[in-house]
Amino acid sequence: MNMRTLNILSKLYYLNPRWLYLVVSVLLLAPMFLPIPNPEIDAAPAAQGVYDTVGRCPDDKVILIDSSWDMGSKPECMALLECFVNDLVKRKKKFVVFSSNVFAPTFVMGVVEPITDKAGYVYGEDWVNLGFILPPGNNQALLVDQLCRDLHALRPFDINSTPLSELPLMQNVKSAQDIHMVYAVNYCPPEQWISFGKSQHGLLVAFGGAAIMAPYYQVYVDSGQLCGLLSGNRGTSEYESLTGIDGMGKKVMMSFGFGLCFIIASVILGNIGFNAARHMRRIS
Amino acid sequence: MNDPITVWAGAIVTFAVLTYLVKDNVFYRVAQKAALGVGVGILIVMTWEQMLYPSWWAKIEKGVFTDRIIRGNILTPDDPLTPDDLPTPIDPSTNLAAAGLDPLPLTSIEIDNGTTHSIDLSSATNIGDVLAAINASAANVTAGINKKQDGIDIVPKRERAPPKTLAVAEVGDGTTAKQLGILAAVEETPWTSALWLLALIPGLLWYCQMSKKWFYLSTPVIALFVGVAAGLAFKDKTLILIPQIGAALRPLNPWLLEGGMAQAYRMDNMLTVLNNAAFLAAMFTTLLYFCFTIKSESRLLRAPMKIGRLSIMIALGAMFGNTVMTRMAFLIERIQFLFQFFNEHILGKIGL
Repeated sequence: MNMRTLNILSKLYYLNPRWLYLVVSVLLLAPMFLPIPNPEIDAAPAAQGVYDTVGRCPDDKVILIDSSWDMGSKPECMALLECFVNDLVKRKKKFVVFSSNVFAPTFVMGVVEPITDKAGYVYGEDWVNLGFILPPGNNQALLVDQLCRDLHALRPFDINSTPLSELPLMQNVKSAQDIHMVYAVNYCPPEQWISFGKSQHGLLVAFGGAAIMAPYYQVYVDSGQLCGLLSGNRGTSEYESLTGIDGMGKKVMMSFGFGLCFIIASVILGNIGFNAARHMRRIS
Repeated sequence: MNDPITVWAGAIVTFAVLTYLVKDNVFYRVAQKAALGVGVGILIVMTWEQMLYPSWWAKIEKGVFTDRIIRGNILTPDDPLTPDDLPTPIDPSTNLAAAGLDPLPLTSIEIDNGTTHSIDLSSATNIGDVLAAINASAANVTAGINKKQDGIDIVPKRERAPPKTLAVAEVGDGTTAKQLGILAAVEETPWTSALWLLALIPGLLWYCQMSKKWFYLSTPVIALFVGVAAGLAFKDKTLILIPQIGAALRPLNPWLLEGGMAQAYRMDNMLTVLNNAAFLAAMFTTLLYFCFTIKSESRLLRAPMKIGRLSIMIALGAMFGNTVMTRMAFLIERIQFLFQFFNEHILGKIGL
């Protein structure tokens, strides 16, 4: 390779990264202007596991949602909660939602209420929001354990301070025996759902977490400790494919595609540039 | 998202943070420090509002919460009913006559929470009507079916300054409150609730860590907390890791897979065996790589250790890829927010 070619290639290494930021931003926005249909995405076994477990929920049991995300993880967790609740109302499953993060209930209401209102779900009969539950001793393990033993003792009121005994749905939901599965949505859902919820109380547990946590939690799916896993926007769009309801997940998948292709190209070109620059240094 | 001040603040702060990509600047630093300050401020308020106030201070200030619950039981001592007669568990639809209340119709009751409120229950035909009438009254209480589902509990509504007293009395010669099992005069909160102040002592002992002289005073509380946390963590890890160890032992014999001996050499079974072999190889070589007590100069170990290192690199690569996915999701959300903001609040306002 002659010096001129090396010189051109080495410029890739010294490229100002601000140009990369600009191109990424433009590429992420591009799908909003281009008439590109939502992609068809095949569901991974982990997403299929969540979907199948929801389908097996009997009428006399509820699905418990631990939604403890806030603004910091909204871009992924909001879509993860939305696709799951959409599925529950579509298949007429009853559910109870709570948060162990003090900031989370506002976000939960923003997602769940519009869906349940649209579906004609009756609060107190088809779904209940317990709001923020303070983990005893600020310890997640104690929260999960006590919630599985006696939910009413841990949280006697719902988010509106209505006693649980007044809510028809909650009269039959008192402990882990009345719960079919738990779906924990958070940036990194607490492992205590696996140790205490699954191993000790025999609950079926599924996680919806940030994509960054996927390699970490996948081992629990393989071992059967988690019945399913939705990770990031990819997990959301897989679940949307299964339910047939297009939502926030699929909307951003094209932007993801554009952005990731560019990043892969940048990594390859950056390496070529790096090697060219090194080679030039050696020659000179 | 519809409140203009929130939207403008969100857009300005997002833009200020993104300016860091060009160069470190004062707008970025102001946004960074404001976020930190606001976060700490909110945390302090929320800790007080959601944790310390309801769990601790409210008990000291207004008395232990449970002291002001009137626990009702339809089976009063004078009642000729036995538990077997009562159609328990009662629910809001339970008919009053079926619940054994006599005479009917009910009359009125009085709830005293500092002010006396009279509640007319004469039109009630079932338990739900009784609860609805009490809850709709100005007494500021919540009535519900009790835990055992054999009576009614009355609790002050949760608010900043709940009443110090709560009592239920008959009106005139009526017997309604007694029939419902809620006839009760609750005295003011006992002085013992002030004992919750003692919780301050172990709390304050934590701060003794900051002084060399008094450090030893903090050790008992630290020991207590570490002991509890260690106990829970030990149980937590045991419950998580034991199934993991079991799941790591994967069969390499196709006869043990789905279909048994008859279909042992099916393509999917062979792929499973290959997958299991790759998994076991990666696991053992990775563990070997971290065995620092073995000398790695040995030729026998050098190759497996290299494979172990390679496995770690592949795992870290997968993690890096997922990190990019997460960060990109955050960026997409912000860019779309800025675009939407620009479209609605700037172009929309000037009519473009």
